[in-house]
Amino acid sequence: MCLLTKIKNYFGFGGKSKIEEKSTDIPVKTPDNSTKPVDVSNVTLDSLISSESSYLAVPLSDFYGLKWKFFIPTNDYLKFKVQKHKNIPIKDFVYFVTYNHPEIKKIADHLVKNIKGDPAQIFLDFVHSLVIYDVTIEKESDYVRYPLETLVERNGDCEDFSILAAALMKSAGVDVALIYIPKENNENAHMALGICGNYSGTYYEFNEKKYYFAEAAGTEWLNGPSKWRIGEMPEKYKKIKVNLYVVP
Amino acid sequence: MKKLLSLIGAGIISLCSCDLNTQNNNPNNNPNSNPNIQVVERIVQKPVDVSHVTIDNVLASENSLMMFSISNFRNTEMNVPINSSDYLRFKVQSHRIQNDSDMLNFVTYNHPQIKNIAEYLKNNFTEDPAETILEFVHKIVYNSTIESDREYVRYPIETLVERNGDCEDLTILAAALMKSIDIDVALVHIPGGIIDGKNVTGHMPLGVAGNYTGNYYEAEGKKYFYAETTGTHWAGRPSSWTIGQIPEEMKLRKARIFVVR
Repeated sequence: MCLLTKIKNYFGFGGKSKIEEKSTDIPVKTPDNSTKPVDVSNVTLDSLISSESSYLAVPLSDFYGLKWKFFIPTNDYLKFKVQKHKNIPIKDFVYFVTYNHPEIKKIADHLVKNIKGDPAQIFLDFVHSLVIYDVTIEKESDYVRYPLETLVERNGDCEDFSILAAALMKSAGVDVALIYIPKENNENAHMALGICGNYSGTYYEFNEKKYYFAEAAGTEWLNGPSKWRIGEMPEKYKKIKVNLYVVP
Repeated sequence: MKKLLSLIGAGIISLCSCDLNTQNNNPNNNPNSNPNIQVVERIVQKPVDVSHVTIDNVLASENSLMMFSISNFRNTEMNVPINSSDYLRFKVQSHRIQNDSDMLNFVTYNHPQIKNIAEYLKNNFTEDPAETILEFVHKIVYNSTIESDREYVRYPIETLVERNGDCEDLTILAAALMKSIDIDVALVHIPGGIIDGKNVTGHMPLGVAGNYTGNYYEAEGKKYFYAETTGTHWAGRPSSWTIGQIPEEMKLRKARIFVVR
């Protein structure tokens, strides 16, 4: 059941060895040990030991009736964590769409296999259900996350969610683009998705393809998952010129 | 031209600021087409490949927070943010133990994040804090079924973030949370080995001192009631052990008590 099989280190504490209800004669011994918990406040992060044996579990308690958890190898997460995350030019955000990563592919495959419906809409709902957008704790809004980070940290802002959704969609063969909406008047800059497919609603046309607008953000603490669907666009963005970056 | 060709050769083409307004000169036919588009397409190389990255430094992780949320924990929604750098500081520690009593080193009850969570649980629920904490551990972390290396011992922050572990990880987490709000706890080591001709694996539940009923161990004049931290395997189906309950197969096993100080 767990690791404590090193019986060679075990010096049986003899005598009666039963545990009985409300009995007082259980032979237990307290090792003379005054160790204090380790203090890590001064640790520098210059080396990470192999964490092959460690996994990050991401639970999703009720998604389309699926009660589901998946595990991400901690090493995979850490490999992204040591990458550069700041001062990334917007045109380079497509580099973050790691749709060829096996863990992303695994999740996308699982969702497509187990849930009936349009894959792109399922992935969008998945991102809405999984991540929590809490702008109050995002100290640095230009920190861009890789999809595995967003999955594990379950937190981020608009570009992180768009990148995660784009990676899942692209790995399932959906043609997607990142849509950058520049800052205008009082409206902050924003990022959303453009999705090719049989949808209705607002789209951008490029290279004879229609990229339907999809809002990946909108999920906030306690307010439940964001409800935006593919083709729906918040009124405030409709008059702003955008940049569209097709995920290659 | 030569330059452009070489760019194509490298797989990089930039079509910048292509204004497509003119292609949508009849918006009435396409009422939903959004003409306000400035297209930049970049055909770039594939997304970054990190398969060969060696982890020699972690950049700027101070700005990244890991959230774990618990829905329907006693009808509350909780979000607990943890600094990823806090997590990584534990990740770089050794996770092996020399002696079984080294497990005590992992009970980091003085860590501010652990204390915060324990105090939140204590202050927001009227039930016995130790019972609340045990239920919390059952609800948020899984008894790992994919653990490939059973000798890997986790710190409480790791178990919280990774949301899975095996018996000693879950017990160490519960012990740290309880001890941080001054509940007396002990790690209960039930060694494995050949017992009655059968090979049994070791186990590590928790011992909690307090006004409980049921099964307990006595050490240093205190009663440490048995508390099983494992048993949660699926989302929405948490383990239901309460303090004082002991699984039948553990009743006759010898135990060693490591009191957390």
